[in-house]
Formats: sequence, C-alpha cells, structure tokens
Amino acid sequence: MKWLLKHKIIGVILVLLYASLSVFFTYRLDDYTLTLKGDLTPVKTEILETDRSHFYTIYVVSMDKPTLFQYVLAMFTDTIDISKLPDAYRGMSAMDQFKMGQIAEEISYQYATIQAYTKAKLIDSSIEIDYTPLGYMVSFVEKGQTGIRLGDILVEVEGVSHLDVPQHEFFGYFSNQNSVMVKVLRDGNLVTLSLNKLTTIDRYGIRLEPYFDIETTPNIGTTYGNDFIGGPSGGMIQTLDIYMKLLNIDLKDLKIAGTGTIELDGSIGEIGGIEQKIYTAYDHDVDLFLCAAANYDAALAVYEKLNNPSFTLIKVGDIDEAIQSILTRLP
Amino acid sequence: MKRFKASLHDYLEARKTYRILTNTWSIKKNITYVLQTTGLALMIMLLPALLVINLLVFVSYIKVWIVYGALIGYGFIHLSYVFQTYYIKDYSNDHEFVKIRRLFKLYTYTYGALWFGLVYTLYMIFGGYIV
Repeated sequence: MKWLLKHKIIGVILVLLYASLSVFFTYRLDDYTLTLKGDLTPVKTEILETDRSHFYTIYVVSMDKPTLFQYVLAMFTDTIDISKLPDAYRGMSAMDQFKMGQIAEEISYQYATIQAYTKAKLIDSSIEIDYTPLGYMVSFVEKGQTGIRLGDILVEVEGVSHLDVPQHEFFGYFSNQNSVMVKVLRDGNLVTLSLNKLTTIDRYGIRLEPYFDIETTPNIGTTYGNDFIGGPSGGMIQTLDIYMKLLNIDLKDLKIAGTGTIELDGSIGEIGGIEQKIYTAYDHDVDLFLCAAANYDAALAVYEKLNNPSFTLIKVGDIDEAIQSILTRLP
Repeated sequence: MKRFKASLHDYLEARKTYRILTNTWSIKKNITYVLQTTGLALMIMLLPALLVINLLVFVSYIKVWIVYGALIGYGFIHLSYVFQTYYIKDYSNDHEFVKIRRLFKLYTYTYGALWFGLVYTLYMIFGGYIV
C-alpha cells in the first residue's frame, strides 16, 4: 500500500484497471440471452427391466442477462448464440423459469406416452392406453397476471367445465371477455379465481396445455424430474424411445439423438437453440440425429460446416416419418 | 523434542508480542491495518473469483472450478498474511519481526491446510451431486 502511495501514477492506473475489470465482470446486459452447447441425456423411461438407452435428448444451456465479459467472450465463440431476451421472459425469476421447464417436460412425456402407446397398439393389441383429460395446465404466466400460478390445472371458465365444450370454445371465453371467473386445481384443491385481461398486451398472458390422467399396459415409469433439465424439445425422441421399447425393437448399437416437440396430433414442432444442439451432438458419438422439419435448414447449415461428423442428419415432419426413418436405417 | 519446545515457545512469544502491539493501536489504526492487509487481499482475490464466476457457465465440468475456487481461497489467506507481515515490519524491532514473520508463515500453512481440508471434505460429502 505504501508503495502504491509512493508511485501515484502507477497507483491510479491500477485503480482504474481494477475498476474497469470489476465493471467488466459484473455489469449485466438485461436485454440479452446466450445459448450455449449442453449435453446429451438418455430418455428416462422404464417399461421393461432390460431396456437399454438408445435415445438421447439434447439440452442446451440458456443464460439470460450475461455480463459484459461473457457477452464479449460469446461474440468470439462460434458455438454460442447471442439473442435478444424475449419481452415475456424479462423479470421472470430463475425459479419460475425452472418450473416452466419442468412443466413443459412433464406435458411432453404425457404427449409422448399417448402417441407412442397409440401407435404401438396398432401393431400389438396387448398394449393398452387409457387417457382422460383432467383440464388445462398453466405452463406460462405473463408478469403482471396475478392469482393464477404455474402448474395450476384449469377446469372451469365462467361455470363451464372443460369436459362439456371443445377446446376452442373453452378458450373462447377468454378472448371474448376482459375478465373471467375460473376454477383451478391447485395441490389437489379446487380454487376459484378472477382473472383480468392485461391491458398492456390485451391478453390474459397465460398459456394452457391439455393435461391428462394416463393409465397404460405395460406400465411406464419416468424419472425426468430429478435434474435441472427441462423443456418440451425432447418430445419426439421420448415418443420414439417409448415406441421402440414397447415393441421390443432391437436397435443393436444405434445411438440416436434428436430434437423437436411432440404434439397431440403426432406432428413434430419447432424448438430453439438448434445450432447449439448440432454442435453438442458433434461432441458425442451419435449415429443418427433426427431434426424437426421446421428447424432443418438451420440445422443443415451448421451440419455442413462440421468436419466429418459421425452422425446422419434426418429431417422429420411427424412421428410416423420419424419411426420409419429409424426402422429403415437399422443395421 | 527440545527443538519443538523451543519453536513452540518462540511462536507463543511472537503471538504475545503481536497481540501487545496491536492492542496499543487506536481503533482507527486497527481499521487501517485490517483494510490494508485483509481488505487489500480480499480486493485482489475478488478479480479471479469474479473471473471464475463469469466462466462457470462456459465450462460445465464443475469439478475444474472447485479446484480454482480452492486456490483462490488459499490465495486470499496467503496474501492476507503477506500484507500483515510487511505492515508489522514498521512496528516491531528486527528480533520481534523475524519471530512474527515465522508465526504468520505458520498461520498461512495451518489455515491453508484447514481450507483445503474443508473443500475436500465438502467435495467428498456433496461431490456426488456435482456433474
């Protein structure tokens, strides 16, 4: 310290350098989000005791509000994507984002189970699935919408049960009125709430997904809730995993990764972070990579840049196409 | 045994001298002392700590960062005693200073060993939850 006081100019330079570095490491850019490479995770379903993992979902890491240092580092790294943080996600807590991911993953497993069992039943009549709608699960709540919570199951709007009217008519109550009375299932209890349209966006700012009570033969077990990974992007791969396990199809040593959501009609939906998912697959010893048709062009652009990739990139539009694309490539 | 007893005696004596010395200082002096030693060490080690926090997200192999975290912690202990040694030099005679410097070295190694031991123990207990 005495030395610094003696050499004032060097002292001032060091203090300025220290202050600059501190700002560089701590100032956060609220408008941006970074998407980074993640990892492969085996699909977490158990149907038969001897099941082996052939199917892998790919997760990417999203980091909102990077520091200046992280932003600059991302600018010089090809595998990191910088994008603007969507307005709806601003101000959302990390816990809410985690919950959203978990809900999306739970719903994804539900749809995957329904699709896989329904398709497999066409081949093996001993396979059974019975699913009854419980309501519509709240999978997103816009900032400012109070009362309703993530994970609530909407069962009634304006005194009309979800079982009595089709989905479009049920949701119509929301678009036609500025305020609605709803009943939701929360922790097993029925709760009555009054919801108001958000004036800033002229919407209620909630997303609802059909939610089911499912019974299957053979029974299916999942362990997806034990980690920090969430989201709907593994839907297609989960469906394929369940389908192949149900029909006991021998996939030899194939290691299959992929990405795309599964919808109730069997179509495969678009996902985010496709470039980083391709880079992640490249880092692992994958044989096939199944990609949703909507993401294919972006995926192909990255794939063509890779040096001798181990996997084949396959474009799939719906689950039937995905099943066929694997069966025709069996060794 | 004799040598050990002599060393222990020296350490205890140095500790006593150091305490007497700092007890004679005013509160303002004591605050200056803490700021220019522990405070400065903390300030310096804050930068590598911030760097590690910033880089955490880019390398998901967390075990690497535990090692860096442990080294940063030790760096703080080491620097803190280095600054204390230089500070105390002006307030003690040569004989006292040599003994206090040895005492601070002992503190550095002891607290350093305890710190690494703590990190290792925590890693052994909670390491299974880290990927």
